[in-house]
Amino acid sequence: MWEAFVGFMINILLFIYNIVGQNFGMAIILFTLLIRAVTHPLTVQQMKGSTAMQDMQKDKRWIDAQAKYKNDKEKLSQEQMKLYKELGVNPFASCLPTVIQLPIIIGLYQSVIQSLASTPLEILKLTNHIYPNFLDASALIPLNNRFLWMDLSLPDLIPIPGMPFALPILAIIVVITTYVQSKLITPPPSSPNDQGAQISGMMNIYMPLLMGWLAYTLASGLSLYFVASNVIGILQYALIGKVNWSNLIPSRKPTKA
Amino acid sequence: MQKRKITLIGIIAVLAGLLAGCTGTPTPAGWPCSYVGDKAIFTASGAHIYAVNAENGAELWRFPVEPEGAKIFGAAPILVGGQLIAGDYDFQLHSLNPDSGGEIWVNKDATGRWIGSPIAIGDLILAPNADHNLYAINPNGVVQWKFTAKNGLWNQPVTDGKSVFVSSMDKNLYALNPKTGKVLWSVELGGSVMFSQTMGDDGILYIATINKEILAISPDSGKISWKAKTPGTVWEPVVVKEGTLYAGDQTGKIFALSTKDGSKIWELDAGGSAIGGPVLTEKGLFVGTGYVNGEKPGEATLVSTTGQKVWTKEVGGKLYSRPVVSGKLVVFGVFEGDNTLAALDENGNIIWNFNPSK
Repeated sequence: MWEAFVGFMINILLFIYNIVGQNFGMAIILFTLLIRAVTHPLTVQQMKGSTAMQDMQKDKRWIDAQAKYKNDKEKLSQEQMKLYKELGVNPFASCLPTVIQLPIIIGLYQSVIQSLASTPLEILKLTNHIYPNFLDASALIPLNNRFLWMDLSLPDLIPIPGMPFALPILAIIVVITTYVQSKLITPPPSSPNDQGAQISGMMNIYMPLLMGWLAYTLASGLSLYFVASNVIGILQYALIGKVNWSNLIPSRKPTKA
Repeated sequence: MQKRKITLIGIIAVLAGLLAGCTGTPTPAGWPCSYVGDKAIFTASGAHIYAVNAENGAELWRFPVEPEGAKIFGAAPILVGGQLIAGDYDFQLHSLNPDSGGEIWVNKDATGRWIGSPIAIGDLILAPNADHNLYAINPNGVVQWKFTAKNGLWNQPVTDGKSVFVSSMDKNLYALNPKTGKVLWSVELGGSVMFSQTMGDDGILYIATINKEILAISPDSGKISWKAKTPGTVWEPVVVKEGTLYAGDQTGKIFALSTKDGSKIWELDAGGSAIGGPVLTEKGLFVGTGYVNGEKPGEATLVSTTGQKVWTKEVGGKLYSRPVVSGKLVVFGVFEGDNTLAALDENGNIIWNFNPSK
């Protein structure tokens, strides 16, 4: 079932590759754009759910309940449920779209990997995925893995004359775009002691490093997907009006008079 | 807060593992490919080159002794003047002592994977690489010349003694001067070639492309004598003997064509994918099959030269590589099975299995 789904994604990706003049880099970017466009309604729904949850957490009744029943988890849970009903907030509204999107994103990720076939075994697997009535495998293979300066099937490492090590340009771009995206979409903290905001702050540091490490070690085609996904993600949130540009600019602490 | 921080780092570490897992095999693997020497069978499989006793399947040595990072061997090694030449997926070409497995030299000039086996003309090693180059290397491991194609070179070159022929994923066949690497002629094939090029016993080149075609080509001029459509893609070199060409393809068809004009003589269904192709002995054609999704164990089959199945033996795993003949035994490489090699006699009895110790 899962293999069939990934196979379906591979066929769409290769179809795009074919119509953009067999440019795999462009195909990855357009495929990511297509998937993001298809899942856009889910993203909007997720954002709305998340905003509703944040608004609710600012409600006086919610804050009072947290303080009043901090030692009685069961009672606190009952009060929270009551409040959900009263304010018409669905607690799953923000996470359900994410759960639905997750297999699609993983499928996209796997289809990119499997299409970057560069060994006999990978070619065998790829050719078994291609629908013979839809695409002509013989015309597609070998895929043109060159994009800009990169071989998309290998990690991107550019040797710089005079430097003892090669420079992972794309991995650096992945770190920057992941950081920028996570900063821009992080909502402002509801209070200075908001633990959720503190965790988000840590995530904003660790996640870009994790993505950078993956980009450094894996095929640059995947790094290109990470960059495309980050940039499209920023544009998507900007479109919904949920980008916090102020997060990127260091704020001055108000001075006491 | 400290506890939360540790939990968060833990979650990120798990996420990293999951993402890395999503990439499938981080280091690409391949099926076992073998070369038959005088005393041993040399097999490239996963992280090692194994020397295996041809009589009983006992391991003689392995190289390297312990797995080394991205060093994966996917091409059958060859023996050249007392050296065993083996390329890996970490862009290195090794010369090994065939008796001990000790490294004599290593060449690191290539920037791509060694997917195809080399050949030798005299003591000159001609090694194709996925970085688009054919490297001519002397017995000391020094590159003498290189020829650059427009795409990767995966298949073992062939020679008629005067020229060397190498076909590429760039859909061309090149004839080269083996002394200088200069192109004598080239011809467009209409499809990429992975491993399937052969010099027939009639001195004609037979090449199968991904475009599901077999072409007969004159080695003197590059003129295409005929093209024949095949049911599926033929991966490995076809077998040519006395006017008949035998091949197996990805759809599981085994077939025979006339070398005069490519007309079909017979065809049979082997069951699973037969990308390893046949090997010909006096008993007939030995073919291995594999089922892509592992729905059935791989089978070894003996087919007569007139197209009848003589016997079929379940071996397990996927028999994707070309079988090799060692004395009275036919040795199959087993991929994703309990064993790495299975040696069968002419009646289909398994004489020994080779399963490397951990």
